[in-house]
Amino acid sequence: MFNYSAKAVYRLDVATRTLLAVFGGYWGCAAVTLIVTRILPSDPKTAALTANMLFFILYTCVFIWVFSVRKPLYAWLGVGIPSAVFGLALLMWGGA
Amino acid sequence: MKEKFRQSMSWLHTWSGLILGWLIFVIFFTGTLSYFRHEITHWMQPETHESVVRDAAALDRAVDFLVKNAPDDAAGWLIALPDERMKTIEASWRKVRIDPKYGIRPEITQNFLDASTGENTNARKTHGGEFLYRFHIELYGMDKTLGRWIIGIATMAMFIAIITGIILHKRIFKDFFTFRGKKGVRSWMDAHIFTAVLALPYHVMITYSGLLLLMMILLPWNTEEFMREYNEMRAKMLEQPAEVISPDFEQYPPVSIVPLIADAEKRLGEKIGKIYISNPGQRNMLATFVPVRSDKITYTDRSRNADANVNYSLRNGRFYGEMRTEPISKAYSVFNALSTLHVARFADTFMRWLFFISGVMGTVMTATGLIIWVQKKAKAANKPFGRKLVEVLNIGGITGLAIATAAYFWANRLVPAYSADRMSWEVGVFFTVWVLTFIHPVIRDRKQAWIDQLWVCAGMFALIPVINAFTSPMNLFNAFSAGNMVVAGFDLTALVTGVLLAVTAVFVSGKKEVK
Repeated sequence: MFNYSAKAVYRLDVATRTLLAVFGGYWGCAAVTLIVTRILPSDPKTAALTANMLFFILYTCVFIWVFSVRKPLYAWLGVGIPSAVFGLALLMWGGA
Repeated sequence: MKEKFRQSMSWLHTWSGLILGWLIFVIFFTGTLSYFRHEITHWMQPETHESVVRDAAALDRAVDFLVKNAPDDAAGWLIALPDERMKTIEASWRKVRIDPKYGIRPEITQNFLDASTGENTNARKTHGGEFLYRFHIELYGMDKTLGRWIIGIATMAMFIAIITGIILHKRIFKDFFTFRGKKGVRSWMDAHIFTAVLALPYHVMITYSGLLLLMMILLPWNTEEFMREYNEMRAKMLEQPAEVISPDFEQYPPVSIVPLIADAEKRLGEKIGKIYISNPGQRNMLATFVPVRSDKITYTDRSRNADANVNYSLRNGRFYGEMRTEPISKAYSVFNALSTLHVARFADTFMRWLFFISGVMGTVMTATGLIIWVQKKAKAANKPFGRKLVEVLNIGGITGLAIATAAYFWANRLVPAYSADRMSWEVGVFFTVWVLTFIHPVIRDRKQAWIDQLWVCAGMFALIPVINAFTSPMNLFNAFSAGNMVVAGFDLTALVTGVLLAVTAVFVSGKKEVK
């Protein structure tokens, strides 16, 4: 019984971390990318290109973070806080 | 704590590699072959094999051919000069079609003319190497955008697998010099690490640049800036009704292009590869001469294949000026360098082979990674069904794809050259054979299925020079003496591939299965 529930917890942990990394990470990195695009002083096309090139590296780092921290809470905070900050900044900047 | 981190990286490496592993293998395999997609297309049109010697006068006959054959509503022509990769003169025309979904789509009709006589070779219709190339960026038989999303997601998983693989592998140089043959899973692991480390910069570059090339699809919310110019141009083009002015070659006969090529080569200091002709048969008939390729990788204009071109009036041969791409920002230099590296556009024959071999390394790395999973993880997990499923997918995905590709080349020669729907037959054979290679390991003992398929594959590749000798005017020997290194190279590569597969079959037969 105990074994079964430990397994279920493990599976739930993996499933939620996966969803967090794939979708939360995508959303968060998108917010960062859009902010970087606006902040960079270069022309809009170059800025968008630079930000997009950063996206894939950042997204990879999200996966490493989400699956390497011990507690699920850290994983959620690590993705959640930057996403919220950058998402909010984007909203205040006048939408995506 | 440190060990904990490496363990989680190992977990991430395994699962990001496994879940889309077969797709990653397919991308590596077909993508690697794409380095030689022009050569593959040339081989798959045996009617063109005797076109070897280049005669400058034949180029003017290519213009005559277009004058006679191109339809009145052709928006432009293209003449591609023969080089070490394409042995024929390509004379094509382009029509513009308005597609409700994709906007302006070019509709291209290709013709391949003999390089010495300028006669139409009437080469058989085939997708050639283009099929494999398309497959590695957008799969087949589905919406292009969906296909590219799927490829993009697999590429992202690949990138994560590579980065975590580097992190978890701390003894990277020591293991590089270690190979323990006949040691079960250890040998597969050594092969996996060897191919991964040997071409590591290549693996990182090819995956990351692959993501960048797909960024318009994967990051659609940040592409407005890139699309703006294109959308404006498209809106303008849609506004203007496409008015067809019938060409009048009596009044405006095109001048000879041979002296223009010499002049263009002198001005650019590079060999000319392509000539684009716009407004054919009009007063303002214009020819744009573009170099074969540029050795510089950062400044390459992707659409024009070079960073400079020269223009001439084709009505009187007057020089119209030189176009150079504008200096670009650092970010664009990086992007251009990565995308040029990805497609090896700058590469000469030697570099192209180096890239090809690196691609083979990546293909072997992916295949051995999938095999290790079955041998190690699935065994430990003690799930017979899961293990069986993965192993069937491994066999059909790895050796099956190679067999299907060989079958594609065979179909190219066995389907009648002038049957109407031969192109769909070739592709149909590819997929039918591929499906069969998944059914075979379900009903056969699985270790035996590996050995069966390896032998079938070895035989099919090794016999390619034989089938070529029977169905083309060229064979391995007279292609060498005639100087058609493309056909000779294809046959020789197929033969070597067959031998290597046979060696692998022997190796696998001798190995004890890990039970």
